[in-house]
Amino acid sequence: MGAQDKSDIETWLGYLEDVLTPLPASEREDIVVEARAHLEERIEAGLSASSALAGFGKAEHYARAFLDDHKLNTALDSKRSMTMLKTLISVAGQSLIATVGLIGFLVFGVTTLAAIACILLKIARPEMVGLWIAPDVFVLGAATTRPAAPEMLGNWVYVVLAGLVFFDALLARFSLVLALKGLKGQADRE
Amino acid sequence: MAPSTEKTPESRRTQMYKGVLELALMSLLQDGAQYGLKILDVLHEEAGLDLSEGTLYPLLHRLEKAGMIKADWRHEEGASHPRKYYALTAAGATELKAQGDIWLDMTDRLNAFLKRGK
Repeated sequence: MGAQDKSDIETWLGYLEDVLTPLPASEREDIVVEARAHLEERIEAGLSASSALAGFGKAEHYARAFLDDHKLNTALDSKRSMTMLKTLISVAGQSLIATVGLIGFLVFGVTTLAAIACILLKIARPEMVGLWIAPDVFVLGAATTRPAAPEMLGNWVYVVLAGLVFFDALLARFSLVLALKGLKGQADRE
Repeated sequence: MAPSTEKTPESRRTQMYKGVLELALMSLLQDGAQYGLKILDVLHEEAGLDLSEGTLYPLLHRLEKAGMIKADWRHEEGASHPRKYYALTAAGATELKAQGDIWLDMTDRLNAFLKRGK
């Protein structure tokens, strides 16, 4: 291998290693060593460094596939809503799936918080929270002025609101997981 | 509007490759463990799949993470570098069978459809 070829390969591999920094060290080393072995074997077979490197493309583009996969796997494996949310936010601008997932999370997240707020308000001001139903009235939750309808639930509203908290929180999390799995499937197909 | 002429035969082929790469790769590994450079050359020469290193290695990495294939480094006599060999796992063999059946059924039907009336 000529000095120039060696220098080109080392520069590319060095840059690859730098951009792969977010990966665990063993995984990063594996990718770099494998690329090095491939490149050096191609050059030994008579290819120039630029021809051998052409198949890999720019180091940052080559690294992108590994980094995206790692980011999505890490978020999904963490099983933590906050980690999943941060990952989705980081890609929301570039992906419709991520944006839809975030909207789902926000909608169900806000209704979860609203239901929690209603439970707390019911404890402090029981008359302001309930379920009022009449032919032209349906109010579930908090009402600043008492609706012109009979209140149907009494203290059973706690059960209904707790159910809402549970299911909306579940749906908010489901939105995150579904969006991340959708992104992963999309990345797999690209 | 005039039909788009932006798509080259290469870009059409690349689009179609994406769906079959995984299948071809797992089918190759069914015959025995192989390393990246060899996989690339065999898929090119025997399957006519002109994929690049930038496509192959991330795909191998993803399949390994998904448990479809497993890898080990081997220091072979005569080779100047250690090589990372990939082999199909039991889960990969099951997936290959499922994907292969779908592919064969789909291509049989599509071939018959494309040749209708000819």
